[in-house]
Amino acid sequence: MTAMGSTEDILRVVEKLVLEIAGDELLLTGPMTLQTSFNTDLELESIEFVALAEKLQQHYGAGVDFVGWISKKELDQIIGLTVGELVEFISSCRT
Amino acid sequence: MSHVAANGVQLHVQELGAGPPVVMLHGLLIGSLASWYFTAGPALAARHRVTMFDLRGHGKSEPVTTGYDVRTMAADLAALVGEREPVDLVGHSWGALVALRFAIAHPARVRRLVLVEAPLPPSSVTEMSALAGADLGAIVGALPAQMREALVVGGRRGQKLLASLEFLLGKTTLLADLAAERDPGVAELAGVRAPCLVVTGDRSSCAASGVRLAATIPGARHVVLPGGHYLHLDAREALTQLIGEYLGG
Repeated sequence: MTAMGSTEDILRVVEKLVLEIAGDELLLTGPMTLQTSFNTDLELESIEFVALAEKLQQHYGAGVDFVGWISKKELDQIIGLTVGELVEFISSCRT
Repeated sequence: MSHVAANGVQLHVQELGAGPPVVMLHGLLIGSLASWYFTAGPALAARHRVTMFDLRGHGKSEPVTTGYDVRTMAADLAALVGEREPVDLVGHSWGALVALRFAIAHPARVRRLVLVEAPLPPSSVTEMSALAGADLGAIVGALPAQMREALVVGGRRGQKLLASLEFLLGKTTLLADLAAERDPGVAELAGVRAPCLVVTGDRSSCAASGVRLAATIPGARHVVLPGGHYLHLDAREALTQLIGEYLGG
């Protein structure tokens, strides 16, 4: 379990994990921001989103239940998910 | 990412939850374990150990060029689940046919069977029907809306989807395997002992197949939900609830 850290810390962790998954194929032209959309900006495939869930679990431990969180969302909400929403969720798991 | 060697192929596997085992199988071409991972999988994981895996050549599993027939994929499944306690199987489309074949071949290893949008005859599978005319418009039209958009917009995800389709359709035996796939025999279906839930969409070409399966598999229950072939997307909540209740949620 890693300490959650600030919003900026979490953002950089998410950026690092996404880059590990999607690598240099990623369309990201600048640093990831809270407004970056997983769907329209990053164009992550659903199977890459699974990999992100796995990496978040490994990084933050069971305290960050990304899969449980996402399963309560409507499909439209999942498709429209921004990095900021994910960062806010991770931050809210702080114990 | 977790890969498991099964039947000579590296399969990408993800597990969620704890409890009695459930294995979920996705459909061909555009399917992957994400089909269940972002729909019914997590809810089932509240009371079950849910195993989801990418079929050979799909998602992050090994891109092998042969073995897309139901029997070979059922052998993949057999190698993956091993000889442990009997499992509940949930399959969508081709994945449902693989689950059904596994139940016919290994009756003692299956606890309950959930067949979602199982196509009979197998060559009628929606993805296949669209491809029969080799009409790109028909292929795109047969995709779920979310993927149709990716393909039409033509961005990164669309390109990756196209590359995957080009591999599966152009460099593997998938199409030939589908065309050669036979119906399970009436005696085979009548011999299925596992309790079976058959689910079809009210706007799906698998409706008649569902009626036939439910009439032939002893004691099978048939539920029709509002939606098309991609019921896990079209009727995500209703299907999740139905499977959860059937498997003792």
